[in-house]
Amino acid sequence: MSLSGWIAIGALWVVVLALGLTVLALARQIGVLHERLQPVGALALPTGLKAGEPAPEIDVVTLAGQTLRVGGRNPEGTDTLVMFVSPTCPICKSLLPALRAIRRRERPPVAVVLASDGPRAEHEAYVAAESLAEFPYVLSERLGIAYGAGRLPHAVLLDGAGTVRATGLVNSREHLDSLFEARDRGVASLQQFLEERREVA
Amino acid sequence: MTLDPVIGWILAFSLALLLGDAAGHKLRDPARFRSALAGYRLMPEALAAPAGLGIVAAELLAAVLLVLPSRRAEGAAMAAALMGAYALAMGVNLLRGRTRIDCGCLGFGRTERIAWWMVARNAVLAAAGLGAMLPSATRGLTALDAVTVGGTVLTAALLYETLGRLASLPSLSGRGTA
Repeated sequence: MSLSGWIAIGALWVVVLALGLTVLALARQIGVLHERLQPVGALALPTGLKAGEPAPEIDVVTLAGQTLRVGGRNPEGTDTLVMFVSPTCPICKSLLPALRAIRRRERPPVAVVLASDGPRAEHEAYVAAESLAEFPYVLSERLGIAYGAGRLPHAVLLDGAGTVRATGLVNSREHLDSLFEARDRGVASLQQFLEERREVA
Repeated sequence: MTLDPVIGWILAFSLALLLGDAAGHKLRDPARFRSALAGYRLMPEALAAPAGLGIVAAELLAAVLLVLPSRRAEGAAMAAALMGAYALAMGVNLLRGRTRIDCGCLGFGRTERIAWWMVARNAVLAAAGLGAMLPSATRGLTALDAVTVGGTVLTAALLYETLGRLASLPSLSGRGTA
């Protein structure tokens, strides 16, 4: 083969290998970025329920008039997200679309229950204004105390057997998602997950 | 059907490199290899240690046979069998729903779970092994053929590593459910 042919093919291989190395370096950088952007987690409060413990069984009545048992074995075996909200809490309001998304998106499905307390009329107005009729909405001070909902918005994720899988103060969509992430990874909270990973590393 | 010798060499060297690398990872960290192997839950715990030794020996032997021109077909058949067996092991566990196990592919703790794309990848590798079993045509090899073989094997190795890294990244679109 002619000299120019050799040079052409040699140069092409050099360039192809350099490109391959560059792409590999970029892929590694993306991995590093993923490590750095560690998941934010719902803040598990020291008081209240602990993941892994059975949640208290409490019978409540929804605004729509249905009786509902929160906690205990769910006959359909589905997970339940109990979300403590209040009409006066702006962050709660910002999380409502995320709750709708969870109800639609999670497979297997997750039942979402909104819980609050206070005067009934206020909550009925809230349900009408935010179109929350799709969620069971319960008013029960007992539930809030039993589930450790000191600060809002507070979320408790129960599995089908009525065991607390994850819980905490949720201030954003990411925090809410972290509860499911914690459930899927079998850890009590994302804080615990990061803690354990640091110990391994 | 015969292969052009360049294609045969590319397949043989690529598979040998992969198998050698795989065996190297297992030899460097035998404890984690045993636990990864046990994680697949395909054999009694007591068999994991001898089976692990057998796998490493088979990988090394296949890698050596692949680069010996007269023994390439045997090495290629072993490589195809190993890759097929790995795909089967992952497929069985995926069907069992046990996805959260260490793949143990080229290192440990790199991936937290196995996935169907890994089965597909191994099927492609097994197919490459079967391809390398085909006899090569004889023709005079030139220096340019050596450049082609070397460049292709190196590029394939880089791409393999890159694609593996990218596929193992957690999903960023919403909550990863995979």
